Amino acid sequence: MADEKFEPKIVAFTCNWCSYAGADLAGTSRIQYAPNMRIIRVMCSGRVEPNFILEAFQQGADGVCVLGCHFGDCHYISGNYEANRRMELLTKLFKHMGLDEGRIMIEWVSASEGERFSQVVNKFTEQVRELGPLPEGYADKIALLRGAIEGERLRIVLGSTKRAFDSGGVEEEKYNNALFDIARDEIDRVKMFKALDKADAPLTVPQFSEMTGIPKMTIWRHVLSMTRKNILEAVGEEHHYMLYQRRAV
Amino acid sequence: MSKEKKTNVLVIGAGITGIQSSLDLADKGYRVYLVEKSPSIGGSMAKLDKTFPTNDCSMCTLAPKMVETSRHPNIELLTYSEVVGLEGTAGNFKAKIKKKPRYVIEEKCTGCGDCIEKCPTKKQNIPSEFDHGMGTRKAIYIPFEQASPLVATIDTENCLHFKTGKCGICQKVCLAEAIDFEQKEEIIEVDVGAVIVATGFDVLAPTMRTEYGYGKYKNVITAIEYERLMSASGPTRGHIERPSDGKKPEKIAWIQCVGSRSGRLGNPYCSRVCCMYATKEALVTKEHDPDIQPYIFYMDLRAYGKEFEEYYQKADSTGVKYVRARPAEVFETDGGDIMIRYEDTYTGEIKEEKFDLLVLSSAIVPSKSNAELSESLGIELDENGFFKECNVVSDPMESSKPGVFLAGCSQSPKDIPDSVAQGSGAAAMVMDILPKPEIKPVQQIAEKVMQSDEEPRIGVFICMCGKNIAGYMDVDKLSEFALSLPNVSHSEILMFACSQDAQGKIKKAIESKDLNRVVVAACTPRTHEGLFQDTIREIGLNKYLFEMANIRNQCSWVHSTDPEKALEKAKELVKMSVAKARLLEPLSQGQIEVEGSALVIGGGVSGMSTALALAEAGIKVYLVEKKDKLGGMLNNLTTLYPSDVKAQDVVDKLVDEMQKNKNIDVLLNTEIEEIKGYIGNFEVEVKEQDPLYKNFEEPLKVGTVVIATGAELIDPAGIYGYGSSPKIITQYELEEMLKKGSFPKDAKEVLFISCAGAREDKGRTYCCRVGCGTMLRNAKALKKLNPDLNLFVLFRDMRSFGKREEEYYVDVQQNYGVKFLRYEKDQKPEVSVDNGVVTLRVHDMLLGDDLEFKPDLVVLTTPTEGQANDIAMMLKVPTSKNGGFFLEAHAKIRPLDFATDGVYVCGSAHFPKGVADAVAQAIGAASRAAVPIFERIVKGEAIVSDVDQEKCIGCGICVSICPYGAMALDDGKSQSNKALCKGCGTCASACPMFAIKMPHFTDGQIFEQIKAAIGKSGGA
Repeated sequence: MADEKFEPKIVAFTCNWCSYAGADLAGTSRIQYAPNMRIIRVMCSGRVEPNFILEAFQQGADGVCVLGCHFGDCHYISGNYEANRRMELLTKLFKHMGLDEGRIMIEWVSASEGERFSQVVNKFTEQVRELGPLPEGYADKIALLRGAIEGERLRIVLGSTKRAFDSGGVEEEKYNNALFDIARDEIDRVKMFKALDKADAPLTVPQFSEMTGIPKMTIWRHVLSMTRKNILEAVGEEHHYMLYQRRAV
Repeated sequence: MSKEKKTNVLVIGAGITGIQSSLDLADKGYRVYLVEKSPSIGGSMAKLDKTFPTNDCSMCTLAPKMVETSRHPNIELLTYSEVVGLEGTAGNFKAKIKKKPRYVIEEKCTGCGDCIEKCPTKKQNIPSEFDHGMGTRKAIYIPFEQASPLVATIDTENCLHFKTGKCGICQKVCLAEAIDFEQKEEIIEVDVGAVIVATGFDVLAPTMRTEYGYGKYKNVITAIEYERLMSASGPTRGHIERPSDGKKPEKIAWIQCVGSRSGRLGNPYCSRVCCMYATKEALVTKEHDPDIQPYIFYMDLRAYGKEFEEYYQKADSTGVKYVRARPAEVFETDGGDIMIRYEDTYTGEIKEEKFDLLVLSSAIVPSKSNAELSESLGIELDENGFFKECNVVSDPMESSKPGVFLAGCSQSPKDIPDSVAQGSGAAAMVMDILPKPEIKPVQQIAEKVMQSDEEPRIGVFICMCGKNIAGYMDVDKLSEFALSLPNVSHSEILMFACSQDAQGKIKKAIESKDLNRVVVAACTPRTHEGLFQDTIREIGLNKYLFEMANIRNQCSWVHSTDPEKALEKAKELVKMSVAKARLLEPLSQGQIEVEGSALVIGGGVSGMSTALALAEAGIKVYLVEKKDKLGGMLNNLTTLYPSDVKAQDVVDKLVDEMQKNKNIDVLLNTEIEEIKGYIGNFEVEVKEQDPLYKNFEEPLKVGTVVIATGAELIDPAGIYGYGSSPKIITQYELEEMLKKGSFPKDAKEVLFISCAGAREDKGRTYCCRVGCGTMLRNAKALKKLNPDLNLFVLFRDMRSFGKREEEYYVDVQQNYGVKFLRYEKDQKPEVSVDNGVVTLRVHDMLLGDDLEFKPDLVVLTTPTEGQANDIAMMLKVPTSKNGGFFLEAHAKIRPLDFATDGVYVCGSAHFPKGVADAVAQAIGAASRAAVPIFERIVKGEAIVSDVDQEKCIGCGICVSICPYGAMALDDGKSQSNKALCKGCGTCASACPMFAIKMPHFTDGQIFEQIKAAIGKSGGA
């Protein structure tokens, strides 16, 4: 089997008006391209949730891409900007978690770019082929990421980006950095919750740190913040450390 | 004629203008015959790569309108047809239409292209009309991929069957049996109440400019030919290759005004769009490939429109080289390069520069068919061969014959948004003279009620598309596979799923197998979903219980060399569609009743024109004006450029018509306090109440709102010393003097300065659009008053771009002794005031000298600026980056609309403009605003967001993200307005609580598609 070429499975989300139309045009122009991609049509690339992409990986996709209208061409005016914001964050997080950010991609294809569509498909297919099958432990990391990205806190900050920029006075770079920091925190917290689930018992800060691999100082910060917000509660102590568990809702 | 026939309208020409007219009328219930002489609708816009100033993909914005036109129940498309006669009078015309034989039966042809592939004519010999000869086609052809109708046409001049009687291969390979060599020309007669002429333009083949070498040198092409080279769907797939050897050019030159702005060397008029399209072509080329160096040789760069100046500046800073020079001659050097010899305007030197490719910005000229059509319709042409309007300033869309209207480039050269505005405008002129169409209730069989727990019973229909699918994969195996999927209770193979008989088969299967979901595996939903949805609706299934699998465009056509992989992929595509179909739910469109009245904000020439156009169609209009009289900016003006019509006469006539019209209530001295609501049901409260207001129910209820608030004069303090001497005034103050007769009789020397406070690097970066015209007409007026006056016009680029404007400019130049002095941006005139003496210094580029004047008057040509803020906030519509103007829904194809339905904009509120353009927009906005009122019930989209009130936390993210103002917080919870939502789903993916559901594209449905795509589950 080793000499058989690895055929990656790729899912693409395309918007109805530009990139799906570009795919149609590639068809009418009979341009041959790699058969690995499966297109899921949405009305606008703005419909694509980060968790659609993560779901695809969890189902076994080797690469996932989002194709939308070029900036300025969006049939719904600004949906592609939202899509782009989400993908930018997701790309950073893929990098952060060592998930091969080359497995995800956002690209713009117009209704008249049949050839470009085929090039984008071929390029991405080759790129994912190079990366090979999903490595071991990939699914766990994706699950962690999904936990973070489906969390309310991160989604509020991510969703508020446009509002923040429109209101003026917000530096884009600072905002994006803060967004990334929050996302990293959320990933840590998902790891902590997973540790609690695994232990099936309250944990101390050192125990959290040991089980998640997150430095103790960082755990302290999360514990403080989460107890203040009533997410965690102290329920006793062990070896001079408080024991924490999730507060029942 | 019966009343019904009186509401028929003939629209001639199906470019963007005719399409806009047709859609505006058809949406109002008029029956439209849309006649197009070429095989497809789409016109010139379909040929463009990108559009300025947004670099939008032209086809991306046009194609949805083409599809809408071809599927509209009130539009009958008559392509490959020409109007050959018109009898009768307004309201009672009889039109004769010649339908040319295509030799292909339109109803049967599926556009599959098998015939084209097999046609033995040598492709390289037949130039494609659509590609302006840059590409080729066969004797049987479809002009371009997105053509509508998507059917083939045989050109008998090149067809072997017609030439030799021997071929006929296309007939043999056509499985749809659509080829008919016996087809004959037909003459169709239709009764119509009115006619719109939207026949567009031709591009000049500039062979008469022999010095530029077109037709002689291969590497000299026209801009429209270059456009086809740039187009990603063009003959070179968007790669710039020069015609002689296919080499990628490194230096490309554009020469402006080829065949325009000179009666001797072509045409006297300005072609209006060339400066911008050349800028666009150069900029897009440069952005696409930074190694290419574009040059533009020009005299006046006419970047007069909204965001045009900024676009020009962007091109300039991106590296497009603008050379103000008149190229004298062009010759070919070794290897096909093109040498341009030109006069440098600064030094007077003759220079030479070598280029790989020369693009001629060739003029827009009247369509070749104009002469014949003017005979057939009995309407007059102007001196250049365009159709003659009633009055170039105040009635640009009325032809010389009542009931026949003009729109777009049939009247004069213009860009897309100005054409679209006239397209809508002409539609409004029609609605004003014809009776209101009766809206017939659509007879439909009742929809089957589906129980929520009903098991899905899915029918899969697999299209062979002749050989286009079946030739590349085993459809029997695909059908077998489909039947093996869970919940699939029927699978059937059809020769052409889109054919009439196939619709019958689908319906029969739905009935006999009691299907409650349908999947068609064929081509693309973008063109065919509507057809199948209609079919299943006809038999009582909700049309949203339908899904397509695109096994042709995404599979057989693109994996034709690998049938096994193609079949494998097709199976998965079908599996994905079935997986989604299982979860499909019936949907229905929301409905809103529309108030039969409209609000017009602003009582200038735009507001009044809108109000009258609405009122004459029987619509109740409230016009609110904050000043104490109607007329707006026109009250400040003397005459209306480029005519000698008095501004006051135009105002008086409009005011008189307003007073006579019982449908209009005018509220003067009135400002809007608040506007609540949305399309169909706006509630308007006003402050500073006009006594008349007390007679109305409070607040005013209207169905639609038109913004015509115009623009205001800027405060010129400090500009060129304004304020430091009474000798420094603005053009408006000069007009005041001219009106009052107070212009100083002893004045000997007067200087005009253009662009005072406009075209700046920062701040007012835009061109004021009307300043050059104002200077020209005031110069003429002053010289008429005092022929001995020493009058200098200091200008940067003379932007006399509109119909008759260039001619007006030439007249002022040649016959009035006005001296024109050009200054450059970095060498602006300097004005100083010392002891009451005004001194003006300016560098004369031609003489190379610094000149000094001590004039009696310096007249500044200042811009206007918009006042969008308050109204924009109230109506939640956006404003432009520059100048406080309103921001329309789309710069090109929706210039009068906002993204938010039910609110429209026209005139200088959109961007400063002259009266002709303002009137066209104003009447166009009336057409747009009348559409919902004529429809009476506005149907929203069926795929609209739905907020789960339990989950919503009222964060307002969806409100900030929705571009349509469809989301609003009410009592701490978000509400989706089903009438405004367009169904993009961006809110659903942004909601932190997953509280928003996007029907037809639900999370659940998409997850099922993902599963099916990857192959873990979702089926066999």
